[in-house]
Amino acid sequence: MSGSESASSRPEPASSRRELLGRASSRLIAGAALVCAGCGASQSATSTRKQISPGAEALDVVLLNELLDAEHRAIAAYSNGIPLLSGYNQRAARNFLGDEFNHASELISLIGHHGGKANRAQSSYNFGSPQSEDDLLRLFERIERQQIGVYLAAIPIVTPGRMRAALAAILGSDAQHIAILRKSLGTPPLISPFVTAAG
Amino acid sequence: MSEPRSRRRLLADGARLAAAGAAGGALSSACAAGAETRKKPPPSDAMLVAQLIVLERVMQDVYGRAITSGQLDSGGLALAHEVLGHERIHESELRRQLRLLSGTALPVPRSTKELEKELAKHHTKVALDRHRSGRGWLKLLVDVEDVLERNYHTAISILRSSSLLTLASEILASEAQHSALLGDLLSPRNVQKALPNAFINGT
Repeated sequence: MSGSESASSRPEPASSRRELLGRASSRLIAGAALVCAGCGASQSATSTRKQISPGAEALDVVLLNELLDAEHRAIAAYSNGIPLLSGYNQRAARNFLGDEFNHASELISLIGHHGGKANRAQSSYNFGSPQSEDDLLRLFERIERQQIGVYLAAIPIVTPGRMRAALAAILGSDAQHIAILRKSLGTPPLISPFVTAAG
Repeated sequence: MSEPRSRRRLLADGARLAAAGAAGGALSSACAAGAETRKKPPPSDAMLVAQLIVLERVMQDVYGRAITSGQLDSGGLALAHEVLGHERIHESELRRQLRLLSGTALPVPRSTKELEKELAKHHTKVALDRHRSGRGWLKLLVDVEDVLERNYHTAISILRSSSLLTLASEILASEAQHSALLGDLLSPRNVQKALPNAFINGT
């Protein structure tokens, strides 16, 4: 059974159903290609990467901006996917979106603290063509995994211990999202005793 | 049986043991910022790993008690078994790393009192022999996962080796997942309660 069948066969309150039907056109658009408007940003991430003030830890700032790019991407995915979800999945995704905003805010603060300029979100992201709630949850899981990958790559490289700890705290949160997303999908929530981008 | 041998070895290596004890203290009390600014040198990677091994063993013991309590329902029991397996693998990998570092293992708490004492060092006061409901056990497991998360989080701010930093991060993320799933059992389908924090540092 596809995710969309599952979503449409779920006994929903009438208003929720109407809401879903009312969003049919946007769902179709999402089906064609979930190209998301990104948080009002008009410039691409690469064009907004600015010079780092002298003396600042340039590599750390570059790494932090790469993490921020991943957060922007996750924010765009959740922001655009949430209206297409229902019930618990929607509530969970909203919660995760709030976490991603907090993560982005922390990174922006760290970048500023190290004399850097925070990248802005891209004007659009191409997330493919999710056709159902399950497709969206799988998309979110993929995006969270990509985040895990970039955080695991960055943590051993960034210099200050305090910054490493801050990044690890975000990594843990993204790992939690994956476990809950997988549980919602009916897949085993824990894949491995060592959380990596692959498993 | 192996404990006296281990103790003798540790006593013979008194200086290292004392230093390792300091590592435990550092892990239990130092926040990331404090660890960076404290005047005495931070604990070595080996010391940090040795202390994390102790905590992984404590974790296993508490999970074991939860499993044998007979109070967990099938969902709780399945999760506890799976997580216990993870904690054993974490310990095994940490021990391998400790050997690579030529580090000295710390004695692990064996008795209930020793376990409670170890947890108290990490600001978790608990009577392990007390009768608990299934929910009570799940709450205790969440508390102990918090202890582990706090210590991995602190270790990540101090460790020097890249490979250990990656390993500690992967394990911290794993512990975070355990907490999330325990939280989900305690507050089913209420993600706000199950995952109350956007930052996982054991607080």
